[in-house]
Amino acid sequence: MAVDAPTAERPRPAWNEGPVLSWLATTDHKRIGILYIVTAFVFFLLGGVMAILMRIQLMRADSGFITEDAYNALFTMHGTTMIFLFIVPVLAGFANYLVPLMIGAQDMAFPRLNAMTYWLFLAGGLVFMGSFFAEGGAAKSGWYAYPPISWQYPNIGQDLWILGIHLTTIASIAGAINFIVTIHNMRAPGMTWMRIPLFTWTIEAYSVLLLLALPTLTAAVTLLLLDRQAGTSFFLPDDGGSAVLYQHMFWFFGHPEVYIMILPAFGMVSEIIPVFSRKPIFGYKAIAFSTIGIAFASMLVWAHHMFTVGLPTWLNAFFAVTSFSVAVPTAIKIFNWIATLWRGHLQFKAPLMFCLALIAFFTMGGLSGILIATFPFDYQAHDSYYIVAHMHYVLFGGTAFGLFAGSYYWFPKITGRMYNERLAQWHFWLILIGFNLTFFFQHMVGLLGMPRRVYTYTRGGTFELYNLLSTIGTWVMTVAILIFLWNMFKSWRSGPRVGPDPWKADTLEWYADSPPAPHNFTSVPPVTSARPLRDLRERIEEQR
Amino acid sequence: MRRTVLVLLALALPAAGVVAALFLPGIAPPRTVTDSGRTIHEVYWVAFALAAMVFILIEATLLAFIVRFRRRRDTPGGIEGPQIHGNTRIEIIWTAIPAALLLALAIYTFARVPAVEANPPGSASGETLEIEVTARQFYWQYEYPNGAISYDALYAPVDTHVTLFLRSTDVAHSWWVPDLSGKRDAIPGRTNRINFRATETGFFEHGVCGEFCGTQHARMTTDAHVLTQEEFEQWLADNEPPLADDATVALGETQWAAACAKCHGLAGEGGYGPPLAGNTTLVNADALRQLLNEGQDLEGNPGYMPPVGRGWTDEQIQALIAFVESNADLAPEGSG
Repeated sequence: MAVDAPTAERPRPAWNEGPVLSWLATTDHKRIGILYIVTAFVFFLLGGVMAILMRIQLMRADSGFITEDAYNALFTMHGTTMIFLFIVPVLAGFANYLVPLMIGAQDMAFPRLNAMTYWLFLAGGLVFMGSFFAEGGAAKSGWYAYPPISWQYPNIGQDLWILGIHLTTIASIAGAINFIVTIHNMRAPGMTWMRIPLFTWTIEAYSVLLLLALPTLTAAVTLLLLDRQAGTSFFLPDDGGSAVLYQHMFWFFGHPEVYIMILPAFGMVSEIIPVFSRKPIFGYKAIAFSTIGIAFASMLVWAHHMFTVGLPTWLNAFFAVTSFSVAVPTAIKIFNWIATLWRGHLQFKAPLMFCLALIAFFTMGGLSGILIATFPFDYQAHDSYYIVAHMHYVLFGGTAFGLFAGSYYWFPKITGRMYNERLAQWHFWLILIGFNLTFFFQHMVGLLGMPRRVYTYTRGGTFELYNLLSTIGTWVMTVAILIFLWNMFKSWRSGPRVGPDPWKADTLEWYADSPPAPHNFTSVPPVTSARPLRDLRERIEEQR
Repeated sequence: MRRTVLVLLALALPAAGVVAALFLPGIAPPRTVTDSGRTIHEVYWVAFALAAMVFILIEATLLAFIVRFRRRRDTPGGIEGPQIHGNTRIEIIWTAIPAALLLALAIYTFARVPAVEANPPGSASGETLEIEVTARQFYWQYEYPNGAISYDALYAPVDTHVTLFLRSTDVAHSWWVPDLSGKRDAIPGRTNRINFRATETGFFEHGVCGEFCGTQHARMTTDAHVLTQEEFEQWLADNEPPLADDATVALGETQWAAACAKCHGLAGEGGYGPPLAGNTTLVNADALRQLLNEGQDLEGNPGYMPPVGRGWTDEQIQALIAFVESNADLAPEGSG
């Protein structure tokens, strides 16, 4: 009962041809997805360079490698770049590429809007990076830009930062609408809500959270812009404003943002583990509903970023309880993934390796999250390197490991070629070592009293040793990333060609060619479960 | 038998990791000399023990499954695992257990909160020592009940309830002396309090500003001296205004080190900010007051000067001038 699709392609207009123009003018979700992923990865490299420079500065006490202003701009732009120019857009890229294929659609619901979001994102990225060359340099008041410090800095970099936020948030909001409309309306016949791939579930949650959370950020930075340039005083206490109001608005966005960044990585894990265990996912419904549960709870936890602001104790207690409550659906996911491994036949290819590492190290980030939600302890840990460690165990040990897993897993689909497994294993082990070396010791240096966002420190001994280890870790990670880069580049050009379904996977994207034709499918197999491709393989077996 | 060995080994590895971590300096917040800080330390260890237990169980299961269910050399190519789609009872169990553990942790934590906030029982009867703390870019100013002032160094008596009233005149800061207690923000437009009672005397370095506050955030540090009650009374008396001339100069010197030297150098030789040695504004009370109140954004200078002395009293300005005039490096020619 295959569904017929128009077989003849629309003729391409003249402006949509040629190796360059066809990319510039494309509205194909796969090409937009690739543009997103590649661009975001370039920004990841830039953000990584910023991190390396910071770590060289902090390698020794009283180092004079870079100036205080340069350091302050670097940590501001490192956070901004990784969040707004890498993680959120790279996830949008994977979602763009995969969601229509996974649900058996031919494209996104609004292809031109889709193209617009990419170009807005790129424009935002260029504004952010260009601000380094503005008079007075880039923004220097943190990725969160609390007033009054973000109001006080006279440099135009801060205004460019606000413009960059506007461009990237508009892109993300429009993209979120597009994903929601696509997922709700364009699923193949038979693909009910309990049959859509779990990655698509997380993109639904990602999109809804973006739609709920981002407008608050856009509003907050708009008011900040007015305070800076139009003489208003929404956030300026001297003239009756409230600096704490901005913090509430920012974190009302900022905490859901964490789940915006982690949920799709969880979705990738939920896709990959079953395939490499040769088993169905354990507890599909539990994982799908825990995604919704995390998304819901994530809207109610924002003030755990503000435990030291001096809110009433009962309010701190409220936000501690809501923060604890996020841990429950997160634990459900981890238990279900581990249960999926049970009695499987684990094939330790790079995608699975990174998923296992995600389970192992995201768990540490999750558990340290419970510790700092215990707010009396947060009084010590808050704004110290402990938080930096916690947050990187979540976003690197979680999101980045998930993204590496996804990159290897879908590489053959996107390129039609297989990556080099040997290089991928080198990448895996080196990044595992480098990541832990970089971030593990930051827990301890934070509790010894190192605050975040300091360009220098004076203490030697263990304090300095921890910082040195952390810096060495970034070098190991650099080597790992270069190996990854080389593998991707080399394999894309000359890796061995693969068929539509090299992994014997479960979901519809593996039914399309590798790489898929512009219109994805000429027909879609009937969907009678969450694993249409396995069903198809079984039917073929039976017919033999 | 082999299964038992596997389970034990899988448990041993993460457990060994946790035990090894216990020996690392900084594995817990400092066991401080105050009641509230000690309670934080205690709450941390309870939460840590819970987290460590969960960590060991998850990692051990993961490791055991990785070893036990690995694809072996003789595993046939097309083989699949059992097609198990889930189990509602297990889902309920592993939802309920973490929820119960977290509920227990929440109840325990809330029971310990009063001790952390350290609301002194006799605060109405005047037993509490109240110290006004003003956070400015990039230093801490402490003002005591008798009018004594100190910069970047807190003086407090032992065995006394102390309340710090935290205010800021410019941007958000956060007061944090890890060896005393947790941190509390100083945010313009509001007054925050932090209470503690030290039970031992001592000199505690490593106090810092916890909230990014601008260019010299890293240099916004503070010491804390916990003195015996007699020593503290003596210190208060020595520093009660009006100060004698030499005490004024000494105060001005700490003021210079805290408010000016972080950018302009101890001898006014310049650093992040331009050199100040010999600058006549330093000894002109009116010009100095205006500069300190408004800050400065000089054309052609990469940075800008925040209003580092907003709200300074005449006495504070005079103390700074007295120090500058007494200092051979800083004093303009013909002054002092």
